[in-house]
Amino acid sequence: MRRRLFKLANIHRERHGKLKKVAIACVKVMFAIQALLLSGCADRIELERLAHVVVLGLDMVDDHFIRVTFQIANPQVGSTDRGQSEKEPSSDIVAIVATDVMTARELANTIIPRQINFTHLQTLIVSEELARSEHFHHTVASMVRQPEIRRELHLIITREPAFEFIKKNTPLMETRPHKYYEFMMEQWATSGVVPVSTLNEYMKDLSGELFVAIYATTRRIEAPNFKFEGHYRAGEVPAEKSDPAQIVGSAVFKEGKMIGTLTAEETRYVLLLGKEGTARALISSFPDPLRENARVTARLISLEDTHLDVDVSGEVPKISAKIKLYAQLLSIQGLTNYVTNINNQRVLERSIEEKLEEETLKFVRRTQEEFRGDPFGWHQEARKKFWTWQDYLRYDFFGKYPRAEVKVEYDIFIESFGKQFEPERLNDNPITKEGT
Amino acid sequence: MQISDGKIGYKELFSSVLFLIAIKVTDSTPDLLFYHGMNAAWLIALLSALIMAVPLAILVRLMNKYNTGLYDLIRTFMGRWIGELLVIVLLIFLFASTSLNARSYIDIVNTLFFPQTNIPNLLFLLMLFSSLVAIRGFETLGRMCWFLFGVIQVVGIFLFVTTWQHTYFTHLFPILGPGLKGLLWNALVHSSIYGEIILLAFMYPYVRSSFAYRKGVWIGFILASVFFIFFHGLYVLVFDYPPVLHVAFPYHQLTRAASFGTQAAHFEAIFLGIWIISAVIHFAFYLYLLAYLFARTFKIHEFEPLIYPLAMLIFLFGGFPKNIVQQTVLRDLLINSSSFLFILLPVVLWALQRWKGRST
Repeated sequence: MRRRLFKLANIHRERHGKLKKVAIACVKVMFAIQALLLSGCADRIELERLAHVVVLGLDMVDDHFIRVTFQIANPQVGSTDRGQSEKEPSSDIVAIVATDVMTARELANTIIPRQINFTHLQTLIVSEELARSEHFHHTVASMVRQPEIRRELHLIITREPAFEFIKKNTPLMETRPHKYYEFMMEQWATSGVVPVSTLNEYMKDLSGELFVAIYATTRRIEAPNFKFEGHYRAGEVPAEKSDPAQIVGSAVFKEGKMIGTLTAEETRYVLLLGKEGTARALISSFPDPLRENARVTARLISLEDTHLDVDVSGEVPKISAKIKLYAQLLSIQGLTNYVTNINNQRVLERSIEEKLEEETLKFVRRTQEEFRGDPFGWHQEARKKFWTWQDYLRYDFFGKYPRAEVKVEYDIFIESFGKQFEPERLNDNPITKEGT
Repeated sequence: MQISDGKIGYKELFSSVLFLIAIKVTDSTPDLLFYHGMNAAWLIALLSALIMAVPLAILVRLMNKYNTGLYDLIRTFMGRWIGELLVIVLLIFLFASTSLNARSYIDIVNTLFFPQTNIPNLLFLLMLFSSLVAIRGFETLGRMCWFLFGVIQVVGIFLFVTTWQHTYFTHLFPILGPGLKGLLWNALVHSSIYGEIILLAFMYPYVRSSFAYRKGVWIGFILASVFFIFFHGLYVLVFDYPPVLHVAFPYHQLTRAASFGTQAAHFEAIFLGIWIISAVIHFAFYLYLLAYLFARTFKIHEFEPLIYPLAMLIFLFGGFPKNIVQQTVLRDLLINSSSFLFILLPVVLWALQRWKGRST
């Protein structure tokens, strides 16, 4: 009934209604156009007006000031638009002295015509001097408040001022700075010579555990040529006529302050002994057990998570870690037969296990005595043993760590030998060999 | 083609529960739960759901028995005056929480995405679009929810997959966080995070059948609590316990951490877009509920035109808290006080029903 009434009324008003419809449509179109023009009105910015900072450097000037270095990418480099700006460098570097990063950005905007923007920032470089002072934590912790700064920022500590590092780090092949760091990071993910150190990880490790950050330099440090490649730290790798930056080893932080450095080898132990080890395929050399002064190089692959057990029932925590590694022999410098001789294989396996256990325990002792903190994340495992947070805090794992009893066990399985059975020998005659 | 009767089925109902409740894991609710439940906030979400399930079961049984919505139940068992008073109290709670929530959503948008746009503008736009959606009626709302249901599931799973690389399971320990006693008490006082499930009983007349209502509410309730538990767990897995306390808006910081390998990263805009759409629907529901309750209380027949003035009132009240922290404190207070209301309401109704049943 009601519908029919409506219908009648509609017929009556049809001519009038048509006009109304047109009017409504007009208003709708007007609104739609406004939506196009006004969308995101106050925060609207053209892409062209942005200057993307890809690397940020922090240095200490004195107790009140820091020097903030912005490396701003030139989007024209590496694009098809390159022809128009051939002489332009791939990035612009500006350093500003200010009290914090945000004021430095404001000051930098008096020099750079485009609006400085951090949304593509992936690398934060901090000088060792600042990292070793208490200003480091204040600077970094106040920086993450800014929404543009992501917690996934990679933290790199440099021996020299960050400004110097950024200025000198001009790799010949990687013109674009962000690509350089991106490729380096992918490399580290497998080799394990530096830790994965993001701001998010740093924020997690502030209550007594050790945080390890990537360590780098462009300076050359006088160091002996180590037989064992794991002993190098940034700047010590004997390289000539190369790209200036070396990124190897790590900086150790405790309670937001840098307290020391680790070699590449020690960094690997940190990564291996953690519960969810991040070093998946690391290449390392070991002394040849059957031939003095020779070394065997192997790729160690960890397929399984480290088996950790933290016993908190006693006065001091008892920690045992079991690590299973699969070894691929890459080079046998002493030409010892570790391939077809099963006995020799066992000897090599045992010798690698012993060597690793010895070195790892030496490092664990160093963390207990020198750093008095745990870089492996073993406290996370200890947390599992408590019901409530209060119980865990009462146990005081970090306080007890220096006295903890640590057992480390490696299990090495030689998995493959490369594309060669026995090593080639000089004057190796099969017939004479058979005769003897 | 089926002719629309203005009512919704169970699918629309359970997806609308998701938009009413589960979306809260993206606003300031996790901040509250982490503050009280430490790394075991997900347990609070679980326990709260278990606590809330009891009054919900009672209410669903009552409604099934009398085949009426919550409003008529309250009127029948509490009488005219007490019943009206109770509905007005509910109305005030609902209004306050809508204003505070709307403000909190806008604070998120303002802080993380549009820092230079002013808050009144954003709040006005949110309320404008919510009321435009709400005015289309309950059926449209329900259908929109069902339409977007799949999208929300995909987004949830996508977020989980892309942040998987940052998760560490040991962060969940010590498993009980502040201890069982603290967890239980906080679960009780925070159970009104699921309170909308009780409010949804007012919408009973708009559901096709009693069976559809029961099915929809229960499925929706379980899904929403799974969302709650799962996301509170995920935040701790990525940020770890003491830092998660200092992370404002964990959902949005999580979307920033999402990436596929090293190449595909920074796609939080996808999450933002879908989140904004969900937020608009969320507030449209609130507006609709408010208008419905207001109209029933003051005997107004056409209640849909009330949505615009209510939206503008919310816009005004949303401006009162100066910033998100003030807002969160108020919200905690509101959640605590309304928890008891939501738990006790069905129990009291049930008791009254038993008592009246005996006396007659």
